[in-house]
Amino acid sequence: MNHEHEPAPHGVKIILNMEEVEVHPGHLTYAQLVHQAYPEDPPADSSDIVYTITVSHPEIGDRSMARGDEPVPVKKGMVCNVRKTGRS
Amino acid sequence: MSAKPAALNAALASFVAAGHRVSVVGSHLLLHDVPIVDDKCRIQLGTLVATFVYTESSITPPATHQVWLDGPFPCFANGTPIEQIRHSEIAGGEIAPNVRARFYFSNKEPNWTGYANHFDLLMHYWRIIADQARVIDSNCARPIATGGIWVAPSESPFAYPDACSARGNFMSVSERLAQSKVAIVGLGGTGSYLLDQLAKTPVREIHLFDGDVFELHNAFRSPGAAAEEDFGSKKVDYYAKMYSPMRRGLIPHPDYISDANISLLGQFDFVFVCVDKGLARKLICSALQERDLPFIDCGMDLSMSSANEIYGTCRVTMSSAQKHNHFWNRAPTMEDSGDGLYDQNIQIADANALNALLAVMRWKQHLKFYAMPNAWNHMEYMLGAMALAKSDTIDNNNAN
Repeated sequence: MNHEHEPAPHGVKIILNMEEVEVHPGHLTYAQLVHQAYPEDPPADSSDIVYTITVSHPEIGDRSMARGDEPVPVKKGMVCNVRKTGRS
Repeated sequence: MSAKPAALNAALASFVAAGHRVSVVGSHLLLHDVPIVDDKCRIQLGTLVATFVYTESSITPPATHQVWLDGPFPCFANGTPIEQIRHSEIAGGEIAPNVRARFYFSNKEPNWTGYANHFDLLMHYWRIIADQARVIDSNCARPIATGGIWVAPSESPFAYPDACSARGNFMSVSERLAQSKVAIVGLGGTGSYLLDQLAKTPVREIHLFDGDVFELHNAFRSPGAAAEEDFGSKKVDYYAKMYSPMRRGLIPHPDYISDANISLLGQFDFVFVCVDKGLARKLICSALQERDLPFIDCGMDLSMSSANEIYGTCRVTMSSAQKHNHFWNRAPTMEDSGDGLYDQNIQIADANALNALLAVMRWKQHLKFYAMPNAWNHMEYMLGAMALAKSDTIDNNNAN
C-alpha cells in the first residue's frame, strides 16, 4: 500500500539522531537505520564503517544493535542514535 | 614506608615499654605472642590485629572497639570459650596481604566512649585473653619477650595508606585490583578520567602513552585544575606529575603507538584504549588480540542537533581471550570516527568521565572486585534517552 520514496501514509514517528522522522511500521534493520541517518554513506551491510546504534523505548527497553543483529520493532516515539563512536 | 616515621615510633613506644612485640603490615597493627588458653586448656600463642591508619605525621585513633585474632579461639582456664568477645569468623583466614586472622572480636566495657590510642584498645583484649592463661601459668602475667617494633616494607604504590579500604576492612577485596602493569593509550578527555580512577587503585604500574601536548582546551576536559604554566607540557608528563603526590608507579611514554613501538604493549596485564583515530585503534587492538591480552576500548561521538542541543553516544567495548569476535563489529576502525563538533572546545567533560567510569567499572568486574552475574562485553550510553544498552555476554553470540 506504500509507494517507494514517498512517506508512508500511516508512518510511525521516531526520533533518529534527535530529528523526528517517519518510518514504515514493522521492523528496522541495522542497514535501514544507517541509511536513514546517513543517506550519503555506502550501504552499511558491506561497508567498513562501524556504526553504534542504540534504541530506547519503554516497551522494548534500551537496546544495542550491531551488524548482524535482529531488526528492532518500530515503536512510536522511540529514540534512536546512529553514531560513529571513535572519539575520545 | 620502610623508614619508621617519628609518629609511628611515638605511638608504638608504650607497647615496647611494656615489653610487647608489635609489627605494622600495611594498614594493620599486629600484637604478637598473646597467650591464649585453647579448648583443651593448653596455652598457645596468637596475634591480635587492629586497623592502623597513619601518615608521616600522625596516627588516626582507633575507629572501632573491634579487633581480629590469629590463633585458637580464646577460652577460660576451664576450656570453655570466652563468648563475650566473639563476633564472627574470617572466611579465608586473611584480612589483607600478609595479615592473617581467624576471628573477629567485639567487646567493650560499660560506658565505653572510644579508645584514644591503639595501646588501650589492644590491652583491653590482651587482659581478657591473657588473664585466663595466667590462671594456668603465672608466667603469662607479663609479655614473654623483650619489646620491639617491626615495620613491613610497603608493597603499596601509595605515598600514604589507603585509609578507605583499611577502615572498611576491604583490604583483600581492593588487592584484587593490584595488577602489576596497566596501560592507558591516549590521554584525551576519556583517558585522563580513566587515570584519575586507576591512580586510586593499587595497580603497581600505570603506563601512559600519548605524544600530544597538554593545551588550554584540555584543561576543560580533564580532572583537577590545571595551572596556566602547565600548558605546553607533554600530556603524559603533566599527568604523571599531577598524581605523583599520591602514588608512585606512573610511567610516562611521550609517544603515540605505531608499528615501531607496538610491541611495548605485550608487557601489560590490561590495556585501556582511548584513542580518537580509527586506524590507530585498529593497529593497537589487533596487536592486543594477537597476544590474547584483555583490553577495553572507549569511544564516543557527540553532535549538535538542529535545535542546537548536544546529543550522542558513549561506547565501552571489552575484548579478552574468552570473548573477542564481537569487537570488530562494535568498535569503529575507519578513518572518519565521529563528528567534528568534538574538536571544538566544548563542555562535555561529564561525557568523557562517564565513558571512563563505565570502563573502569567493567575492569573492576573483570578482576572480580564488583560482582558480575552477566559479563557484558559491550555497553553504549545514549545521552538523549539516558539509556544504557548492553550486549555480548560470554555465553551468547556463539563461540568467542
